[in-house]
This record gives sequence, C-alpha cells and structure tokens, in this order.
Amino acid sequence: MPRKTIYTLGILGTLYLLYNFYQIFLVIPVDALQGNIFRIIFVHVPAAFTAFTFYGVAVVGSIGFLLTKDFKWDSLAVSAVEVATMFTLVNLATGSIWGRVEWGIWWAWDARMTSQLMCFLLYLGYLLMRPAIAEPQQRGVMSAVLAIFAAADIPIVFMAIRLHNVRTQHPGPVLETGTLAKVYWPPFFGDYAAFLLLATAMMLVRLHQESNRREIDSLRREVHAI
Amino acid sequence: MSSVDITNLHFLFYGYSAAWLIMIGFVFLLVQRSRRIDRELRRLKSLVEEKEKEKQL
Repeated sequence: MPRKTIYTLGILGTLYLLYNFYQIFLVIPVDALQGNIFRIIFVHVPAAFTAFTFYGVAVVGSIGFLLTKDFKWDSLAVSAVEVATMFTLVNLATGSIWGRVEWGIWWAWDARMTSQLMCFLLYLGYLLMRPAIAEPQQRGVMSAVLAIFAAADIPIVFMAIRLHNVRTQHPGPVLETGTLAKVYWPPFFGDYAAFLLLATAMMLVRLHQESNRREIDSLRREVHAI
Repeated sequence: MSSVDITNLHFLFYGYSAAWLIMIGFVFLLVQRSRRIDRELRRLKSLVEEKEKEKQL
C-alpha cells in the first residue's frame, strides 16, 4: 500500500477530528442536564461505532480466509481486530470516566458494559493467541474461527440497552429515539467519520507490516535452505 | 462556575486525555513495530545475498 495513501488518510482524519473538536468545545451548546461532561459522548460513542465497523471487517477477512486459505484475508482480519480493539479500549475508558461523574462509580456490571468488556477481552485473547501458534495455516484457521465466534458478542452489546427485560445502568439509545438533539449530530457523525479515516490509515500500516512479516518468514526459510 | 461544573470539566479533560493517550500510544507502537520489521527484513535480505554469493564462489 503506498505511503501516500496512508499519510493522506491520517492527515485528513486528524484535521477533521480537530475541526470537530472546535465544534464540540466552542460552537455547540452545553447539555442542560449533564453540563460539560456530556461532550465526552462525541468520543465515547463514535469510538464504539468505529470498533464495531472494524470487527465487521475482521469477520469478512476471517470468512475470506476460511474459504480461500489466502493469507491476505488473514492479514486483513488481524489488522482490523487490532485497530478495533484499541477503539474498544477508548470506548471503555471514556465510558468509565463518564460513569464516574454521572453515577458516582467507575464501573457498573450491567448488561451493556459487561458485554462490551467481554468483546474487548475476546478480541484481546485473539491477539494474544496468534503468536502462540507457530504453524501459519493453523494460526489462520484458529484465529478466523475465534474472530467469527467473538463477533457473536456484538449483537448482545447492541441489544443490551434495547431489551426491556435487561437491567442496565447505561442510558437507552439516543439516535433513533431522538434523545440526542439534531444540533449534536454533525460533530457526532463527524467524529465517527474522522475515526474511520484514522482507523483505516492504521489498518493499512498493519497490513503492510503483515505483508513484510510474510516476506520475513519466506526469507528465513530461504536462508535455512541455502 | 460551581464546583460541580469544575469537576465536570476535570473529568471531561481526563476523558479526552485518555482517548488521545490510547490512540497516540497505539500509533507509537505501530511505528516501533514497523521499524523493527523493516530492520529485520533488510538484515535477512542482505544475509540471503551474502549466502548466495558464498554459494556461487
């Protein structure tokens, strides 16, 4: 992947993020109930959306690898998982800080937060498992199966605030119910778009690393053969 | 500004700082790993070249 594309995506994402921060801190009004801490929503939720988008990419990559056994799909999956896991961590950290202000506690073991933590731990397990398997084919298959299996947690995270019989401390959905005023939508979706640009740049860097790693493996075999 | 507003602002600062730190830390790790991989790739390429020259001799 050309460096130019990576730099362009990274710079565009950063500039768009800075423009959104200007909107968030200097233009849009303060929330009447929560005050300034409400502005954390513009990082907290877009980070989760970005993570789920890239977990989706990882599932596509994993299915692609299981069908074709082409390592390019495996590289796509691991690159996407790594970036998505980082954004899940951003989501968890900002959520915890927001919860400390609104609820007086850093963490509540409710359905939404616990399922999101499970998602983070499952994919962290995926990343930690990979170096432990030496044989590339076996590593690819096991990783793909785990990535698809772990993705089953994503609908649970999504539904955790939508089911009436599930107890949750977390607020309900804010977009489809109209709870989030329209004035907040541009920076909200703007941050999601900026995160997508940055995450894509990071994923391309990881893809390049994976391709170099495959080259290193083949060179090592060549050295041994000589 | 009330003490609640000040606490709100403090925690808002912590939240954004945490997000930036995690992202910048991740980028830093990516750059470090890229350098390590590139170094290893260059080393192996020159090793293969050397071995092939030795083989020809």
